[in-house]
Amino acid sequence: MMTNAEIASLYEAMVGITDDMLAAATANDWDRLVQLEHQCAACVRQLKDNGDSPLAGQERVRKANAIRKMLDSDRKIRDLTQPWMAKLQAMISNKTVERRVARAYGV
Amino acid sequence: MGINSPGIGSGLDVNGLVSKLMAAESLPLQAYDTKTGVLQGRIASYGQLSGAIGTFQGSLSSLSNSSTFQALTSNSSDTTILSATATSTAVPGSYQVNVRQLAKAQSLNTAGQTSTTATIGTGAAATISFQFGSVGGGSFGVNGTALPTTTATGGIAKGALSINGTTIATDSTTKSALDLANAINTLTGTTGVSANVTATKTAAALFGNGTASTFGNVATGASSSYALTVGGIQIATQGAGVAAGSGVTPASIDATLGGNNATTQALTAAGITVSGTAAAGTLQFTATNGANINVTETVSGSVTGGLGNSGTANNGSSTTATASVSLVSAAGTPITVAGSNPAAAGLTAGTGGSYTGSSFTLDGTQPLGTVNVATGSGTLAGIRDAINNANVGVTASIVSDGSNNPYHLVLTSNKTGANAAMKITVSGAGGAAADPALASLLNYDPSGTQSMQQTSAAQDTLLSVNGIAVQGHGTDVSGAIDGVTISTKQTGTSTLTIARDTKSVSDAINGFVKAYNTLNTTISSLSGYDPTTKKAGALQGDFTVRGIRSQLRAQLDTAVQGQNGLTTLSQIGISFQKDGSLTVDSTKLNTAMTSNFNSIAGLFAAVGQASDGLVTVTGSSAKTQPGNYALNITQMATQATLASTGVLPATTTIAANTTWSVTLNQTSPTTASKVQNIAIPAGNYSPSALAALLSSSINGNSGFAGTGDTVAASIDSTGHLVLSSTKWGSGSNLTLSDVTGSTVAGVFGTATPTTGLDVAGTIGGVQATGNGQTLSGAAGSVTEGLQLSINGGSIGARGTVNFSQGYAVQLTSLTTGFIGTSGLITSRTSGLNDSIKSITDQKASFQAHLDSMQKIYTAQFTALDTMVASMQSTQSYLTQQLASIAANR
Repeated sequence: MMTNAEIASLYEAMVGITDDMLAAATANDWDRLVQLEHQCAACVRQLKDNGDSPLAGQERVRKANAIRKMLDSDRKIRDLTQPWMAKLQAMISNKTVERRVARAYGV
Repeated sequence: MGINSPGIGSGLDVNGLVSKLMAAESLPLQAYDTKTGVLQGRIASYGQLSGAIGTFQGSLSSLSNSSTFQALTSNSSDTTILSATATSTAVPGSYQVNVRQLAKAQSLNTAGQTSTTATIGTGAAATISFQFGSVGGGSFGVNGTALPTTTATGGIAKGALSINGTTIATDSTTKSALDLANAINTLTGTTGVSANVTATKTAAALFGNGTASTFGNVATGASSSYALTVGGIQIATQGAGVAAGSGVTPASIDATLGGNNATTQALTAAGITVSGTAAAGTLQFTATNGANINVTETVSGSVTGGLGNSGTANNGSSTTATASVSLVSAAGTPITVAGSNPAAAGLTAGTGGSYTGSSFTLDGTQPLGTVNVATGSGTLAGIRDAINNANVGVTASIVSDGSNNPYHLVLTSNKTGANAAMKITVSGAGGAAADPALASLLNYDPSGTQSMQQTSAAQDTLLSVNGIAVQGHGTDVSGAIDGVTISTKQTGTSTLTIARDTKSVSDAINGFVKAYNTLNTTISSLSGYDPTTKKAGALQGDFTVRGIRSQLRAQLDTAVQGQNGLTTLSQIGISFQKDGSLTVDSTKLNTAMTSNFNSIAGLFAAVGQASDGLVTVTGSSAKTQPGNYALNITQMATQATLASTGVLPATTTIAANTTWSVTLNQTSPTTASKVQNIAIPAGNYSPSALAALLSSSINGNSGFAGTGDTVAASIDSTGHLVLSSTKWGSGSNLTLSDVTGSTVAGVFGTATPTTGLDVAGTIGGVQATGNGQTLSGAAGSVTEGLQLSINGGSIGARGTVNFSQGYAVQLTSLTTGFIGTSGLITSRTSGLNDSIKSITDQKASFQAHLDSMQKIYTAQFTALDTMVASMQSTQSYLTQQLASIAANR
């Protein structure tokens, strides 16, 4: 069982990870994004496994702030990720790849 | 998350997307295939072009051969009599050929035998030797005996005599050999038999016994007389009352016959000659014409003395001397004598004939044949098989005539011609004496014992060409007309017309034009634009095809070098048309063939011509350059020879069991078969007979015959025996050494053989290579491949050799440069194949990259998709946490 202070700190650590994720998405660094998201998901698993007990006082404020920040970042990350995935989808389903390769080869 | 299936979060079917991508892939990949297809199309077009050039090249092969253009036709007005073939050396013209006799092979029959399997004689091993040569002099036929007295008085009854089934017209007036011969000779055309008479000779003992006269001195009483007439001519007469010794005596008869008087003149006029004397008892009267000679003593009153009368009463006498006829078959075939009484003609019924007074001359160019009959094989069938297996140029067979002794062995020479008559000698094995039974069955010598019956004589073909007599050993006669071989079929006359074969020449030329035009059409369709189909050829604008076309054209536009006479195609009416095809003006071609026939060959073929008549150009190669080349001979080719030290004596004796070891054309390293033991038949030989015997004996050896090694022997102008190998050059050698019997030195003296030399000299100033009589241009020189045969003449400058290569030869070389293994098209095609290979490689690497990109995108999409799902669950959790915080507030 984590202490309340540990739980609040974990949430704040998750904010840091989420911020990094947003930075990676902004930089189109998708591999790093996926990597960071694994870390973020691991924190969530830790919270779920060790009982995310309700907090009070200062810790409760820290947790709520952290969650708001994260949800905000989450939306931003998705806004960045969705178009790229759409692009990938397009690349897999049409000639873009071929054209790019063909150009590279001058076929 | 254990599940890695893509699209879990987004609901997107990634696998479906990937396979769609795979299908779409073919689009840029098609660019590669299209490129490959174009290249393959060009390769196929080159293949088509190559095939067309190959076909064209094939049509050139007969045109490269000068004989195609020098062909002559021969036409026989009567092909049942003869046909002929002409080579290019023949002279066109019309020839009257009269075939008088066809060549035949000699055929001999043994006497009839009761069995084919019974041993003849002792059955000991035996050798049968065959010599081949000519029968000379004498005649073939049957000799009769003197006509009987009954014929001299009463003639020969009609039907008494028939020859070869034809009755001879005889009657009571046919009393002498002269009469009989005349009767027989009027039917020679039918019977094939002519008759010769022997001389009529009065009896040798008519006037005495050869040592003393038996003619008694004639005494005549009163009113008596004596007269002696010979052939109706009175040679002695005595009136009445003359005492013995004072009138007709042997001496008085000799005196009359020895002088020139009415009596002797009358005898001469009657064709009667006198030999011997009455005094010596050798007086004989001869009539060479075969007329009967009647010797009559006419007596009246009392007379003593006279023929065979020594003082007893002479009552007169009359004797008639008759001659015999001999029948001759000019064809040498048996004569059948029959009739009701052939004896009246001095002949015996039956079929037969043999040579009398003939000689046999061995032909030295024909090998001796030796047949060995093994112990116990001496049956008729065994002898037949031994002869056939020995391959000596004689075919043996057995025929049955259905008589009591039905089986006859028939021996036929495989060669026709008068020089292929057989002489057959039987001897025991290893020099032992011959088995008498075998000898009396087979021994045959036209100049001696003829145990076998000739049924067909060895004879030549006899014919005349425009009245000039020619003969040949075979039924095919070459050289009667230069360059023409006449095949005779039967006797008769035919007109032979030899003409230039202008049809095959114009066919050849038209064939060439057609082949070129076919190639031209192929090139056009491959490289041009077809306005009707609006399609461009696969090789349109291709520089290789353009090059090939212009090179072909340039070759045909270039005059032939080194050729005298015709040098351009236009001279024989061949010209280019606008579309690049060739056309033939047949009028112009015919004019050229009429005026310049012999020059057409050089326009197309490779032609070599030496100015020296004893030099022939026998070959050339693609490397031989056209030109005029001076020929200089520094050494003539020779054959190995062995010439006797001394002049041969009139007779040379070869002892029994003479064997020499002969080494002929020995190689280096040595070959065993080049050394053979040769048996030389024993006998006494004149120089020319010895020469023939030596060459026949050596050439009869099967070991030498198998390797084609032969010798020739002759007696030179100074009487020396010269034996030589027939091979020319450094490979020609000859050595003789003793084995048994007569020695080599006994015939040749201390002479040593010389080895042959190769011809040597220069062609076009460059040292050429000699081999035998063949001189070849040096490799790497302009005359490489040129082959000359120096057939005679002397050393020194030998004129020039002109060599030209016509269009067919040049085009063959040119097209080989297009389609040969290292040819233009071949290398072009392999270049295209290389391009195709590199495109294939590019396509494969493009494909590989495409695959790896797909892998990367798919992996990233899947990862993000999974991440989005994970973020989704994180967001739900956070939202729920936030909600519970809010609820607690």
